[in-house]
Amino acid sequence: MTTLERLDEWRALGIISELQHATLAALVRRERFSLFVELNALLYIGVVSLVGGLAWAFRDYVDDLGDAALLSILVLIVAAAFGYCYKRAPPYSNSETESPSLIFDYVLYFGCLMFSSTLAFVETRFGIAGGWDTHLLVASLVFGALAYRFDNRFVLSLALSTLAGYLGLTLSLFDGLSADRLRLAAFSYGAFLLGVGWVLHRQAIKRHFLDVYFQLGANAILLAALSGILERGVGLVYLAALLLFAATAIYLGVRYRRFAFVAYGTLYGYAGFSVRLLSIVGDATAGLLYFVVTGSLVVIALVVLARRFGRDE
Amino acid sequence: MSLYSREDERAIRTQRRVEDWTQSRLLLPEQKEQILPMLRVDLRRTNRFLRITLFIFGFMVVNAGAGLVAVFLDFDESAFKYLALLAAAACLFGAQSLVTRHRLYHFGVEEAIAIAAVSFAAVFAATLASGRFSTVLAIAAATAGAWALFVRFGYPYAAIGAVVLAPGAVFTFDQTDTVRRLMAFTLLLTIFFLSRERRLDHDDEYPGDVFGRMEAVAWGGMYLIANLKISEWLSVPDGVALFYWGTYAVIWMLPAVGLTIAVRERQRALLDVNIVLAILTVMTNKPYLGVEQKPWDPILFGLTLIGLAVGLRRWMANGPGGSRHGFVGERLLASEAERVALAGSAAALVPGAPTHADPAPAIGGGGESGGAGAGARF
Repeated sequence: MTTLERLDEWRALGIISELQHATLAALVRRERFSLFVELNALLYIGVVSLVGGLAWAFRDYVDDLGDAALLSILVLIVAAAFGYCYKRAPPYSNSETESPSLIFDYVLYFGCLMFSSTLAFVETRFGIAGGWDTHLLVASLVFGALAYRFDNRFVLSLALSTLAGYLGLTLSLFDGLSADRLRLAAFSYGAFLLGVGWVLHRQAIKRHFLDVYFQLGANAILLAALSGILERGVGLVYLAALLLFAATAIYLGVRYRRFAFVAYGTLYGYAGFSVRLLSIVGDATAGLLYFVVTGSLVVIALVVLARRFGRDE
Repeated sequence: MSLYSREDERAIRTQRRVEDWTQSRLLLPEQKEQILPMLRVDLRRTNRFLRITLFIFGFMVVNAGAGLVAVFLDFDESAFKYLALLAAAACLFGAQSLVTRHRLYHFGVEEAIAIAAVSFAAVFAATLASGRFSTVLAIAAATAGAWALFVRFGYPYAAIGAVVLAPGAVFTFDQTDTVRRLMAFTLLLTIFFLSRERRLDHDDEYPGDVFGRMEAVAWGGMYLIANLKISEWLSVPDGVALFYWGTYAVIWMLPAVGLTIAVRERQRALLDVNIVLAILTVMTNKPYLGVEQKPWDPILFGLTLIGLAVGLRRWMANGPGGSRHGFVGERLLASEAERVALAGSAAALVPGAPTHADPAPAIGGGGESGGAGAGARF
């Protein structure tokens, strides 16, 4: 039975109206065909290419144009992009807001990338910020504010990845940096994202952004813990932390029906435990036996979980 | 041949459509509740995250199990291939049992076992001739196995895998690059036409949807083989001038023809593939002509794409009823917005402002981490 035949059946049974039947049948027959995703992809690639080209051109012609002229051009571009966004945007709302136009989100994204380029130019030519970490922090804060003002997920992602860059960069300035310090930064970053995401969600501020925070935050924390399990002296502490975080991710994932976190908890936890154990065992046969036995147990547990909680898809 | 009935496959796809229509407010939740029981199938399914996790662990267990048997029985090399054959047969039987006895449908674990069967069969085929590992036989067995998985279990990615693997065998032939590319191109063209014919038999209904994707992948594969600038890693071009300029003509023709077919027949997969191909053609045009790339190239390219997107959107919106021959620029379904939102979330993994690839002296210091504009060069 085809979808069109089913639509006819539902109409005959009075489940859907004539108008609904006509609308849905047009979609199924592809008489109405949306290019929304394709147009968005073209705009995204276009903006990234444009920014890349501008950065390349400015770098090549910086000596010909001079710092003042180049900075003026950059500032004008950024001001024009942000000005357009402020002029066209609907008033701020804590809930999800639709973009006023297809191009709006990409003008904002373009403005953010150009803003970052401007900061980079100022830093490389004048060095007034005292280092790249300041540049990244400023960019991250500005992007974060703009992401909320204009309800833009692309810009929020940009803010969070720039913040990660800031934390890594700040710590790399320390001489004799140990991996533990970097892991601490990753833990802090992850905890910060989880905390901010949770608080903003509780305050009902852009609740649809929660997933971006939690996905990034959980992965940062789990990855940081996983990377430390073979460290001499503190490896077991990292392993204990990893198992605790993994168990929490699985528990909360099941409780709130967010199965991506169940997957993260299972994979990171198993990987960490296995790496640590096999580093002690060292025998190939025992290792294979370990994978067969423990892997089978995990599969059984997941099947039980999937049958009890995992919704059909 | 398939373990699942066509009616079940179609019902599952219709269920997904109903969910999407409800989220898009084209159906009311009460209507969905009335419709879904009519689409119920006697199959066990799970969500994609548990499916992926089950797949990973299932694949690991099967391979570790085979390794354990090999270690315990302490085979010599000649017996190794028979273990692979035995493992392939056991896995195929196991995967089928899980489906027939437990009614699993794309549950992850049975998929892992079925794919392990194909990988064991490929190992067996590769070691069939004593004393050497045959890549041709390995790829041929993997292609046939992937196709068999699609026919038996209905996995769309297995069908796509078969299309991707098929020309791989050709590139192991001891021939010149030109001959190999021509052979692979012809093979993919044949797959394209066969898939197209099968797709037209079923239109968008299962299995027509899978054949539509195979058609698009075969088309993309033809382009990859034709474009010498992006497939040097596959086989080093042998510098035949006529062939070189012939491929230059082909990389312009393929996206143009592909887009025409896709628009005329409203085939999403073929449309998306050909948009990518058109972009690749423009990007590789100058390298093909041996002309140096300039900073304004990406600027013009970016502006063209933006202009094209905005122009198309306006052109469609100004048409009768806000569309042109049914094509619209706004989203019609919630799933379309979800795809864009997913791309937005994934953008966190992409560095901010890209920089020109040429090595150039840095004006100043640079960052080491990602994030916007954190490159070492301005």
